[in-house]
Amino acid sequence: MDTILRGSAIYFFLLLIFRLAGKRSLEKATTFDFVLLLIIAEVTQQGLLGEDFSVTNALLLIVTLVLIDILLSLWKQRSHRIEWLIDGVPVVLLRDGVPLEERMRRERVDTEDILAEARRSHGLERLSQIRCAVLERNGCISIIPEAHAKA
Amino acid sequence: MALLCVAGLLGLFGGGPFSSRHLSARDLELRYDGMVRMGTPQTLKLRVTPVHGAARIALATAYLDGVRLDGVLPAPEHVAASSEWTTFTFASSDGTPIQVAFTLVPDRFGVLDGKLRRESDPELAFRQIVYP
Repeated sequence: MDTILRGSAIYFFLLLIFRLAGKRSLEKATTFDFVLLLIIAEVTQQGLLGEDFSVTNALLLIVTLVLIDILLSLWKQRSHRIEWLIDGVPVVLLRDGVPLEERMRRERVDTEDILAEARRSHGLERLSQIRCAVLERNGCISIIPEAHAKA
Repeated sequence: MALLCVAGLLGLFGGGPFSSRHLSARDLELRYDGMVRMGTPQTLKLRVTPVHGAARIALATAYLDGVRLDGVLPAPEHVAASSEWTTFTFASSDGTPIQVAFTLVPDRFGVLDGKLRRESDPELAFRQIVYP
């Protein structure tokens, strides 16, 4: 019983923490962020297993975590509200070359991040060449170039 | 997967309501888990009434061969082993029942049969399923 409850508690706690941490947390990851992620993984492992290193415990934990994930994804499919709660919504950060400062501050994104993505994905050099920049649910920035800036 | 989780919650893989067992005979009570996991500490909890200022509890040596004894609380005053029984003696100043906890770690998976008794009372037999 402990295994299932512990696995569920840690799953939902991690979900909450990473939801609060924001979408950009992994996209802007630095070397230190990766080290932090490794430490979190190690601490989580200890919390999940406790003193029980048996195969049964490991299998039960895996089944619990995968089952919760499947159930949540099914629930998200049925309810947009749950999807919004768990994954958030895409956020428009820039429209017609004009940064939406308040939204960018809230999502901890700056114009350099948008320009970097614009350069990488479309070879654009200036904000004025971007019609729309959207921070997606997975933390990536999608760039839609102005019509005349394409090609 | 859902069935496995429900079974886990109920304790069919150890540590839940379906796993909890209780046995008693005269002045000896035993609480233990019927399903345990290999390499994971488990506790046998005993409540025993002392006779003449001491409680002598004998555990089957064959059972102890299948587990690692990690600790006994309170610490016994004396331990004596024979081929069939290992006897733990606990002192008691008043004649009230004492609680004893044996912390054990199963060494192998399968079925583990155990027996214990107080003094020369009839023995209590119990069985544990040890998951890998």
